[in-house]
Amino acid sequence: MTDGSLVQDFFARDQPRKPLFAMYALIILLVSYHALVFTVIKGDDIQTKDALSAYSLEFQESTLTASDEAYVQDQTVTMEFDLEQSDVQAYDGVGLLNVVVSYSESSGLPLDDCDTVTASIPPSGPSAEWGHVNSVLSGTSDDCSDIVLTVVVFPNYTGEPMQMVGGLSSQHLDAWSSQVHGVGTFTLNLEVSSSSPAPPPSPQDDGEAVSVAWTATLYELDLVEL
Amino acid sequence: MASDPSSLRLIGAILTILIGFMTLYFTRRNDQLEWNERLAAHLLAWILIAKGIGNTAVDYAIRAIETGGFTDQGVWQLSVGILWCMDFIFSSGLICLALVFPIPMIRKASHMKIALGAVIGLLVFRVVTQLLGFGVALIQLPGLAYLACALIWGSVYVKFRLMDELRSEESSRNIANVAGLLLLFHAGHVWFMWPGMILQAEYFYYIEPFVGLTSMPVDFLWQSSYTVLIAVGLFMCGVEIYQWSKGRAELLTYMLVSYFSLGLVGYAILGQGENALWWQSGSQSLDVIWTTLTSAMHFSMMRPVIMMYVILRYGLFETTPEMKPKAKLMVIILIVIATSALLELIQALVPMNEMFSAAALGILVAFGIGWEERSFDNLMNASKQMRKGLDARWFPEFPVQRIVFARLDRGMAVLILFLILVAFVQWQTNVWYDQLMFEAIETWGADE
Repeated sequence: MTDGSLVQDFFARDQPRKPLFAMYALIILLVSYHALVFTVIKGDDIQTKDALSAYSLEFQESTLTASDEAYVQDQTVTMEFDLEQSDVQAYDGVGLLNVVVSYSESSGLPLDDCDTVTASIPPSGPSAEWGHVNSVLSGTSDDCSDIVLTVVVFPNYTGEPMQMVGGLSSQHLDAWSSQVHGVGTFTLNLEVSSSSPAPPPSPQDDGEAVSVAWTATLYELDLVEL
Repeated sequence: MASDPSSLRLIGAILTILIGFMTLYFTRRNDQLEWNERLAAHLLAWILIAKGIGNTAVDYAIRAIETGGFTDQGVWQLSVGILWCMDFIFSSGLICLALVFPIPMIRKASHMKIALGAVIGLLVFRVVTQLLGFGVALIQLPGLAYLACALIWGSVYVKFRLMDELRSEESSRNIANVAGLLLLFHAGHVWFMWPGMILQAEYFYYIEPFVGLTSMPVDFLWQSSYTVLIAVGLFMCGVEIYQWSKGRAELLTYMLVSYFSLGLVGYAILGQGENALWWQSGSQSLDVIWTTLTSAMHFSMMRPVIMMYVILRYGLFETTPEMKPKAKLMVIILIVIATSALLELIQALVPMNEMFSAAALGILVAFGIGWEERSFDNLMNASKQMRKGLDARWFPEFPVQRIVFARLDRGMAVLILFLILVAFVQWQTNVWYDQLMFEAIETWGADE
């Protein structure tokens, strides 16, 4: 094993040292210069370059409504609600679709209780968050109370204001904008199971008048950098 | 499409891993290596494998962050963790490599123990700080590998490139070339940025190890190590130009001059305040195209190619008649992959007919294989001499048994798996996201 010193081999007086010292001098010069620029000349710029922007995002909501009525007997009645591209164009997206099914006992028979109405929206057609926890796609009523169904159309839309950290405003706007979600035909299936106060030959309740209110929530984004 | 840097990154990662395993395969069968060359070959193999895995992870991280941002509990944390942990192996491995190759910096067994102890200690320290949730912290000394390699390889290069030619021109030239090429492998992407550093451009002074995840002191340390590399690189470039003027140009001369010239052109493109980053995608703006063709190309293509050249040219592969065909086959595969990826990239950036590009690919590959036949032999027959004519004091002997290298391989494989597990734990404990939020809160506090 060699006992010679490495430092001696590199820097001994009988060795050519000037190029090495010149390189180290250049290193010291540039490192000092970098330190000066980093801490003083561009210090403020560098300190704030990573300041993550915080944003507040609010949804300015508008609604598009439609209504249907039908007399539903003991069979399934299908209703449809169309949302055209032209309906959505002026907005940043479609957030929700709410469907309220209302009815009252319309037979006029004494002691006739409310019939049982079942409403369901099949998860097909427009692009929407059919499986979202807030999507309520079916409901039943037997006491003449309204059935309220909800489809979350845009992913995770609640309509509540949000705050976000980081990213660019354009990225957040893009992330919450869509001209695709919700466009198409939503379908509602209604079924009535009617009950009469007394068996025949007394007068029978053979159906129910049901009204349906469709409300699509469209939104415009209001993004503010805090 | 390859214009998406994601394709380039992934191809580069695959190439890097392939070369790593190839190196391991061929060097394990090479009985002709000196102890420091054998250790270097094993280290090189694991450096490449770790870096390849890290580059694969970084591709996933970039895509996840670009599409979803820094999400709470996001899988991007796993990728960032793997990248950073693999960098521990990469940087520690490079420091070890610089200590033994091409010239052993350690002269005594006690030096060896101290050096290895320090490197392993640093590695363990970094892993522990990761597990404690420090992320990329100043105490991990980020950029240390750049600093150590720049000083060691830079000194070796200057010493042997400018050594008295009468003593041993061939050996000293080979040593200088290896040191220079290894530094080019490690720091080529930094050398593109030299005008930015001198002219105070944002594309240098806004550099961070990880975007938004590091504090200012970490960024300062990181950039300081870049600055050391630039200083060493500029000096080397000057030496090479001087040697060129004396008719002693080498491959390294042309590569260094190319890198530093491209850096100068790059300043004209990147120096206008835009902060183009090498991983950016989805944009065809000139600055992003430029970084794709320079920095990203260095990371993805040049690094494996440079390392391949060093391994072949300086005899780390086993090149007996029995093994030579296998080595050639692997090299051809690598050339085809690299050539096709490069052409795809150029086709995506410069609109051209697909038939034309397909024909060009065929011609290039055929040319590459034909060229390879002759150049491979040239490469194999080139002088690999690094000791002849030099004083024995430069090459201390250590009796290292072969079993040590087998243990090293096993240890590195286990270490890689362990570090991936560390990254997984970090993801599950949301460490990176919490750190990001901590940095953000600190910044807001400073603004107020």
